[in-house]
Amino acid sequence: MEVLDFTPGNYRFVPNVFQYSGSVAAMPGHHIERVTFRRPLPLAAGFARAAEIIRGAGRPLTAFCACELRSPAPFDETSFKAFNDIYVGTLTAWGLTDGTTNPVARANVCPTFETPTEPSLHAFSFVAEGEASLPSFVVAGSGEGFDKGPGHFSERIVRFGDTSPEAIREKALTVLMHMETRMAPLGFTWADTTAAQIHTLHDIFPFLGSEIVARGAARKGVTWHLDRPPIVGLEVLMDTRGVGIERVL
Amino acid sequence: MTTVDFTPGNYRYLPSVFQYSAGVAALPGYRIERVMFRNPVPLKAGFAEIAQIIQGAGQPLTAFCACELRSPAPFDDAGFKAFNEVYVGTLTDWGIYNAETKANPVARSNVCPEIGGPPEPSFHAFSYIAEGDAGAPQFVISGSAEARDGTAPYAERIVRLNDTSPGALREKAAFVLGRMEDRMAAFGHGWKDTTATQVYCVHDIHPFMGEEIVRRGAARNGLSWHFNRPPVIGLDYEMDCRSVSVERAA
Repeated sequence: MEVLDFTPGNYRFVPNVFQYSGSVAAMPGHHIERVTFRRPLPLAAGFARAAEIIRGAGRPLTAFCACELRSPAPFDETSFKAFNDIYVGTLTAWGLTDGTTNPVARANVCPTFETPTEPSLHAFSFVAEGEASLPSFVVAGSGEGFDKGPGHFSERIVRFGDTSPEAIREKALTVLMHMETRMAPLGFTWADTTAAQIHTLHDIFPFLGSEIVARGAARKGVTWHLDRPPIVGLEVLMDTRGVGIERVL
Repeated sequence: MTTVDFTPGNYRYLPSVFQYSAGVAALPGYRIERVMFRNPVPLKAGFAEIAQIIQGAGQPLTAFCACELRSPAPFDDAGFKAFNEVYVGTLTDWGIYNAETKANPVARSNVCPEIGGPPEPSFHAFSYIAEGDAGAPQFVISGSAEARDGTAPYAERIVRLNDTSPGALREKAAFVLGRMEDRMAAFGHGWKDTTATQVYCVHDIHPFMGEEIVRRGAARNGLSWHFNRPPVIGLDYEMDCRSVSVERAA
């Protein structure tokens, strides 16, 4: 996988699809800061608050490099596209994307508790000045599908429609592989992570020790959210990061 | 349960035993900052690094208010004595532990990784008090496993001792969740205030995760599951939680 520079934001990224990149890392002389909201903010309000915080830190809006979204329910492909038009619209206005190449990493999931009534911003990350606590990177959320390839997306989902324990294990292995594939081009491995999150309603215990912990993917624990991935047919989603400064507002 | 002010550190704490308190909260005008080591640091070197970080932030060593430890295995008597000589000894030197009253304000979690544990007791993370109000509750609740309070031997105080059936685990978890709630309540806080919840368990928590944990709001930012065992043989389920506005990796 190639790595591109996004100079206006002082970060590098692994290109993926027009909605989001595969991963981001701060350029030399910079680091990533992550901000979590105590309660998710509806998308427009969340973006407005994020803009205040980024500008308040003396940074341009192009420093926005990753976000974690919460949505009411899994999208079908049509509503997913409609949502992305609004989301990508904001990123375009902020000078982050031209509609084709999008450097911003993203994770989007659907909580089963305190489910938001509209797509909301749970957390975001931006690139700040100075080399505080490196390495500094965020890997976008990935489910057990393959973003690129022939056919309908459902045809690219591992063990589609199967939620047996064996299928969940295989899905999780695919997701772990996606994390590794997205970190590697930036030069990082699990050893560089400060957090890993998994979003699934299914039991991860059967493979927690042997597959997740043993490969070092839970070196700071694995933060489990009883959430659904954002697309019907996906059962397991993960994201991970190596971030030195995190704030909760 | 009543909290006690530890004025030299600008925090209050919930008294427990001489090794640790049950929890801490910043006094008005102060906040808590948590620092997680990218790799666990052995106890003595860890204390040196912690002192540097706290003093570098312009705070006195008495601002040290909580820590998260990783140990190779549950202690035997000799190991526990050696560990405490360094741990409680340092807290005494720092003016935090009172050897006469045996009052210890520092919150603590100590667990043993099932895979890839450290060769000696080490710091995974610590928290200290910094100046400035965060505009939200600032607290750290100590790790608690499924043992009732008391002076009787552990074996007599452990909920469903040596039973790791799904029903027993649920009962252990419910007990520990209640513990967290009692401790938070002593500070006037609850799950709605938390920014993180951690669980340490090498057994399956999925059968009760939704009903017992998520539904009571105990996993609002997810549940950080560490494949670790509590530090005493016979204990199988430990949790801690916190509300902290700034977290760093060092």
